[in-house]
Amino acid sequence: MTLLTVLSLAIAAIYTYTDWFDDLKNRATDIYAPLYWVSDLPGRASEWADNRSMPRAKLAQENEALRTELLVHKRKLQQLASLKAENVRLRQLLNSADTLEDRVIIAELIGIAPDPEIHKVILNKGSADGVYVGQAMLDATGLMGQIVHVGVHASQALLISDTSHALPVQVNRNGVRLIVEGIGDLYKLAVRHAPNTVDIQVGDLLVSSGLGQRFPVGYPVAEVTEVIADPAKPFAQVTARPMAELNRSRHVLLVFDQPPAEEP
Amino acid sequence: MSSRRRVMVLIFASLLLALIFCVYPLPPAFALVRPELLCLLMIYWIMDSPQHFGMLFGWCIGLVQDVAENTVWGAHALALMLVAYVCQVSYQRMRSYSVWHQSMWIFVFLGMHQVIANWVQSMAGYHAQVYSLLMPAVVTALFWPLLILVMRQIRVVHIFH
Repeated sequence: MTLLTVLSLAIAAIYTYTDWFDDLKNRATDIYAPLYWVSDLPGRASEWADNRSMPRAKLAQENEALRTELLVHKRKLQQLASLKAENVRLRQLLNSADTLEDRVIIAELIGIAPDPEIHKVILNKGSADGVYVGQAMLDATGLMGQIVHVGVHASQALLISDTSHALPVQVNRNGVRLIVEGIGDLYKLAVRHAPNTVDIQVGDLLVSSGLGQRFPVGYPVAEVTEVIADPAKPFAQVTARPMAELNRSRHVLLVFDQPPAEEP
Repeated sequence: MSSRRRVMVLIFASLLLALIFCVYPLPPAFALVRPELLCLLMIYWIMDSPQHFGMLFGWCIGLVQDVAENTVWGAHALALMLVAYVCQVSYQRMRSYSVWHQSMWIFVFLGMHQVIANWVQSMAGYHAQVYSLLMPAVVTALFWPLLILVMRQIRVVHIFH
């Protein structure tokens, strides 16, 4: 008993404090992915049945709604094209490097971590599809998280709301740089070490700043929902709501930014 | 198949099903009270044949659960191993109790399991609320009579025809 106790505590310590298990963790992703896939089958089946048994009128209605949405997006895209061209011209005037067009692949979520404290998800794409550790994960509305372990055909991603996650952002309005931290709540993030005097307001959009060399620049992360500046405290208490639908999205985008250099 | 082999198949199948249930996607509100079926089944099989199953059995199951659930490796292994030890020590007494009486003790065992697993988990910075530690233990204890009933049925039909 003593032996097993010591062994499990040793494994736990190695798991938490060292990176000796990294290779094993990546391999484990492939081993447990089928388990998540199997446990997801009932959900998949009901989704399939829903699609099959949808009445014609509802389908037509959905189609109509999607068409309208597409039209709105197309209009925005037209504007974007000219803006992009203008941006490139201005950048050339400034002699700075052109922004890279980010390539993405779509991955499907096949499982979520069963422990409600741990905000991790399992995806159905792995190193065979070019996924790498540290890759940014987005949904249609904002940044969701990053890949932490990669198997051959599956990978594991950490959401920005996990207590062990933090990322550098900036306020879109004025470019103030801040750190946003997960607090274990899917609808709430904490903005760390924001000085009392900093210019930040409720409703400000926080976008990724790319300073950590991990996330690409300029993706929306969160919207500020509360700012409490108490002069008695060294920092203002700022909370924000994630833009991405962390517990809804079934399909996510994995962005191919330049892969980060191997850590020393 | 000999009845011994049938029992082995039953053990393996029940544990696999429990493992799948461990990662079955539940809405957040239900995930907070997800019963620890794997721990419950381990207790069941140790109570059933303590001469075959002991602490190493519990430890191995726990490690598999850790890998599957992505918790800190060793957390459930340690918890299940210690629960297995308590079961080994107390199975003679437990067997003489009525099912509901057993169920109350199962609550205590599960409480131990939750506290130990959470203690190791907290090394990685995850702190569970008291509520989310206690509720799964209560729910799992309520599942005990059901498990006894179902297993009895399965064994009557499947093993003794």
